[in-house]
Amino acid sequence: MNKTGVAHIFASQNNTIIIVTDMTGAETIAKASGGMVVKNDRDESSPYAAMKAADLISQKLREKEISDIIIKVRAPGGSKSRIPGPGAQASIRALSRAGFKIIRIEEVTPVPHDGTKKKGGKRGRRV
Amino acid sequence: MAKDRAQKKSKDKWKEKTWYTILAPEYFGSKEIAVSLGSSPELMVGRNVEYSVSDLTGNLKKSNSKIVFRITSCAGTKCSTAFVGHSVSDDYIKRMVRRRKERLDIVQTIYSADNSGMVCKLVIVTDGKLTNTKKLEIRKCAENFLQEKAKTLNYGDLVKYVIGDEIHNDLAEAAKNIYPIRKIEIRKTEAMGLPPSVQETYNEPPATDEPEKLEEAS
Repeated sequence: MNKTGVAHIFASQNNTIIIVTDMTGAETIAKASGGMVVKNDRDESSPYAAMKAADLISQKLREKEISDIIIKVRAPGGSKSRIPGPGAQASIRALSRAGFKIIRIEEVTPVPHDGTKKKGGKRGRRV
Repeated sequence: MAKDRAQKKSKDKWKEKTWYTILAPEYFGSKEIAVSLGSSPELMVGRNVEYSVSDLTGNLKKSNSKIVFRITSCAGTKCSTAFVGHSVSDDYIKRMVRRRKERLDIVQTIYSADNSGMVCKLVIVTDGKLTNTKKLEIRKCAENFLQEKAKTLNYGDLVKYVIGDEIHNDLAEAAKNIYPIRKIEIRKTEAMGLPPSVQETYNEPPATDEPEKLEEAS
């Protein structure tokens, strides 16, 4: 049976974090983030950083003989943004280009059934 | 101090770990569903595995559903599992319900012939808006049907029935005289503990050694 990993991609406006676990989610196989591959804080969430992080991940996965992956993408969710950041698409693309068999891609952003109030006050964030 | 930490980190835990094959319960033909790695068989017990229902049963209509199994015992490198529950994706349920349709939510505990229980959460969508009397009738009808049907099946068959296709037609048939049913979906099931046959052999997973690790780090 092929060794399958689950790639949990957390893409926010400030960073992209990729963690690959086994199918049970109890063992971490590899992890990387946008902040590990770029110098400036503002670039952590960029598609380039996500691509580089995914390359790091694929290198580690190849060493550990993982051939298949299930991708679970999420945005911050809850009372925050439910739209994944710019790094989500880039990291998925980089993982598929790296030659892994992608079994399925899931959207797992946590959506509250009845959550708390969004931060920013009544009149919203005033920039 | 810094050197000690560096030495501790350099220890390669990956090589100590072995791959274990996880098998579906017997009523799913003990199919190999996943491989997972761990440092000892005891640590494998208690882990949950999520698997697509369409991959398990070959029914492509069920690509929105996921089933969860829990590892109950580990012999050699083979881990046997028990059913924990299943769920249908929220966005699929959201798409089922539109304007001028009624959504009925039913939560019902059902017991199989061998007295193993599970909580069954249903969504029924009707063709139009309903009065409260009709809603009550449909609800009662569905509840009675589920309870009576469950009593005729053993646990394995009940699990297969709940995640299968037949249940939709059977329920729609039972309630069609009250009001036309547009769609029925079992959106979630939750097993009430492990079935009695598994409970006898189930050993609780050992306590994790996290507190010790924290002390080392500090």
